[in-house]
Amino acid sequence: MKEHLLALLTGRLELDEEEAARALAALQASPELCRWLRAQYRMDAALSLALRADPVDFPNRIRAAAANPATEDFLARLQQARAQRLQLQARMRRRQGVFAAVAALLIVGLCGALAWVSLHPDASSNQVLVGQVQVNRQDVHQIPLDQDFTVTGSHTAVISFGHDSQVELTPSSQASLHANTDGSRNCELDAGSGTFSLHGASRINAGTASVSGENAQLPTQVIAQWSATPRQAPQLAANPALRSLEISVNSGKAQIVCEHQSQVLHPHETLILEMTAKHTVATSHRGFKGTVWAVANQVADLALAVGDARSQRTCIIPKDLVVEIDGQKADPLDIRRGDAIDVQFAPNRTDLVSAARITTSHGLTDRPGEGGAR
Amino acid sequence: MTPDATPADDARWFDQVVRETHYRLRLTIAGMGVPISDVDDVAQEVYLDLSRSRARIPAGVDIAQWLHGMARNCSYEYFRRHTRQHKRLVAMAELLELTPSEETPSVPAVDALTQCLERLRPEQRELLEAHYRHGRSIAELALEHKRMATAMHMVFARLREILKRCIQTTPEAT
Repeated sequence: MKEHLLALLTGRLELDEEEAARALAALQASPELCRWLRAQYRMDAALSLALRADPVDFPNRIRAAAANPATEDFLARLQQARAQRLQLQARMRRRQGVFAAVAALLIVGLCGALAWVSLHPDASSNQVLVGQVQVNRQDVHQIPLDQDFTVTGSHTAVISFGHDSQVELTPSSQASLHANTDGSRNCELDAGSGTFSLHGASRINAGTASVSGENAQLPTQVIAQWSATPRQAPQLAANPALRSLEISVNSGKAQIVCEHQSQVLHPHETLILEMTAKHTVATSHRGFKGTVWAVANQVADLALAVGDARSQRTCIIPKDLVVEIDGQKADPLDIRRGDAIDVQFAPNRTDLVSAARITTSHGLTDRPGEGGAR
Repeated sequence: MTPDATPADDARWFDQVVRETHYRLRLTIAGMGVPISDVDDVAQEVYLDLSRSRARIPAGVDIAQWLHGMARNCSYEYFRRHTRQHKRLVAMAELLELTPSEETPSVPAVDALTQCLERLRPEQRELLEAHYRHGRSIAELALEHKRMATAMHMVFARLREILKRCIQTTPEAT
């Protein structure tokens, strides 16, 4: 149960709704947990007061604040503002009756409109906003449901589907759109890659995987589709992987459900699902993208803090792992603070790196103190 | 306070209340989940409120109890002003505040804490000092010790638990 309280324990108050609800439910269910968390908070504060390098003379601070006329002026201003606010509230209350009737009418109208919209997807759904799309070798601007379409031409096609959901598909991508009973849409991705903005109940399906989002913007890639039989391509017979689905999240959260297993991806996280000819998942790898914020050189490996200014996570790279830096095979010791990194974790691990691609900002040879040597 | 108390008496009384109650009050505020960095600000609001309204506090009211109630109100107000999930955080603060305590003492005494810190293993003490004295973040320490940040948070939670148990068995604390 204590894991639900971890965010609180770290002093992070900006919880998302789910985290806050889970933490509250855990505390409501267990007085013991309440006592534990309270003791942790109090001990944390006691340690901070006892050990801090620059102890504050708190009574003196209070004396100064209480004696400071500026504080009193400020408080007087606050009280005046409060009195004005109360007057305003009284005036508003008198007008409330009229407003309430108008608001009720507006709400009824809005609810009706929303209900109509959810049952009748807007006309702009399935529309090709940018680029060229063909259905049965015919150019279309409105994509019919349940029909395969292909992005033709040399530019990305932008298609709206479902309520506010949108997809950008790369040239040669193949997909189809399907309607759900609630009016939302699924995009069935057969080949190629795309960047999706998912809202409401809209989903992307690829093989047996289904991706839905909570205001998520995520690039999703279906790669290495192979439709040949083992007889036609015997060299691939030993590798049963038929296709793989790579998902990474830019913003929001994405839920991936595959073979009754559900995983949630957060921004900068990636997931690669490799599916066999029977469309069952052979392996899945989680990954992470971000900027290297700190590098610690350990005996057998490097420990990196990777992420952005708000959150970072630890990635462990064994020193004997060959990584890719600016497209070249390289030593992990060449990784520097500020490099962009895309790591893939070992199976069932969320810290040990099994593959890493690094992009430097100035190139390996331009690094200060490196002397251009690789 | 008597009605004919002079301003000097008032100031002396206020000063004494602050000196006697500030440690406990700050820990009470922290115990409701207000971050350490903001505890002193919330406590200051409580004392300024006391300074302004002490003439209106009826005779016989236990000032410690009055401060406790104000600390609760100011902490809830802090969550309302600073967080989006304030309703849930206020509900959590209420739970933390109102769940009866089984620990004695409920607030760690300074002397007992100092003694218990000395009883820790050197590496444990160093870890606590790195964070609380030198201000190194948990993420930074996790990286240095080759651990996940969450694991390092749990190490600190365990150390605080060890200290709490030690304080409860230290005779000076009772």
